[in-house]
Amino acid sequence: MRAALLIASGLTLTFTLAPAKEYLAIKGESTLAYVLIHPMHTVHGVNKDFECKVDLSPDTVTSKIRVSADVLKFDTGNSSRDSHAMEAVQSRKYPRVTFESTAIKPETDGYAVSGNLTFHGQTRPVSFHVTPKTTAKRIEITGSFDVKLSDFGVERPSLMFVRTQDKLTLKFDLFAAP
Amino acid sequence: MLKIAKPSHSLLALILLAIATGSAESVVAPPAADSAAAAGMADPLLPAILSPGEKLMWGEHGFMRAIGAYPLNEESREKELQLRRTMLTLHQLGGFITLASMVATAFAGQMIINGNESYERYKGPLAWSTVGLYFTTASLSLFSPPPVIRRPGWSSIQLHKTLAWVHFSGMIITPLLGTLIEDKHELRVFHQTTGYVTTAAFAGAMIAVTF
Repeated sequence: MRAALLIASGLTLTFTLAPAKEYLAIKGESTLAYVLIHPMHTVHGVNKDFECKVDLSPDTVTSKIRVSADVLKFDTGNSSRDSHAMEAVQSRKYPRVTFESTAIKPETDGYAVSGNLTFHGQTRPVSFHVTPKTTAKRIEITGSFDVKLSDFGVERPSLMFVRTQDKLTLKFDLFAAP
Repeated sequence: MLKIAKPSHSLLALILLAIATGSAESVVAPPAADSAAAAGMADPLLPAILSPGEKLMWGEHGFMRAIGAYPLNEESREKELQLRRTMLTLHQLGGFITLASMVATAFAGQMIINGNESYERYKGPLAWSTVGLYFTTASLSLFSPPPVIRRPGWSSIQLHKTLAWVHFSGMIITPLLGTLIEDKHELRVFHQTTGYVTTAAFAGAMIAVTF
């Protein structure tokens, strides 16, 4: 009986300590985007050149997701508008936006991810739902969440003396391979 | 008969300066990029593309550097970007005021053509107010510090700048024709046409930035 318990404990320990499998974002395919609404138009800024690392553990819930993006690489298709956005987020002072997960919990049709988002030099907790699709060679993680520019101390950009909405939607479509 | 004063030398100088520094974006590789890299900075202080006006005023050896008002460093660049935002906000405000003045001038001109000569006393002051407002507004954009980044490619801001060439030309030709029509009455139709085209291009340029 004791031997059986020892074996069982050993198996559990082996499972728990099984190394997480590291996946890196496939650049060019993965996209990180923001959506910002102004009464005259909706702005979509897309970044296809960012770092993302997913440490996928066998039990999934202890997995880690880390994302780091250069704010200068978000492109709305209008250089002048991008420059204005960079001024608002003080890109020279705070050149990167990062996310690091702190908890992943299974829920209907995916997982609830919680973590810390650092933007404009300020870190705030965020949580969102992701829908992962896993194949033998790669994983795809899609999702989106909203933040408030004011929560991160960012002054809302304006055009024709009208400011954008405070809400900024962050969307991601990550393709990651080992 | 329209009576419009002849353009002053200072106005012509401003026009020539505006032409010389134009808004067309020619590719000028900034030496600042190399110096920034040598200094170990994460990225260059100036964008890779500078317009001639920006290079003249804000380039590594530009006027503002030469007089020591804005040395090319990280701290100063941050202030420059705040100045840029202020100038471009005033540029937008100036645009609205200039358009109103332009429309009022065109209206007064049309009323005179329609035979209501009581508008003649308004037309000259309105026309020169428009010219002054226009070049003040234009200079706020032309001489503003360079943006954080500038990417090549077509966008609504390029349409705004393309239309700027049309209304800029119109703002030179229309007042000049205005000074000539007192002696050459047959030029009135050209003055009228260029006035309307200029107003339309100016309004179009304002609408373009909203897309």
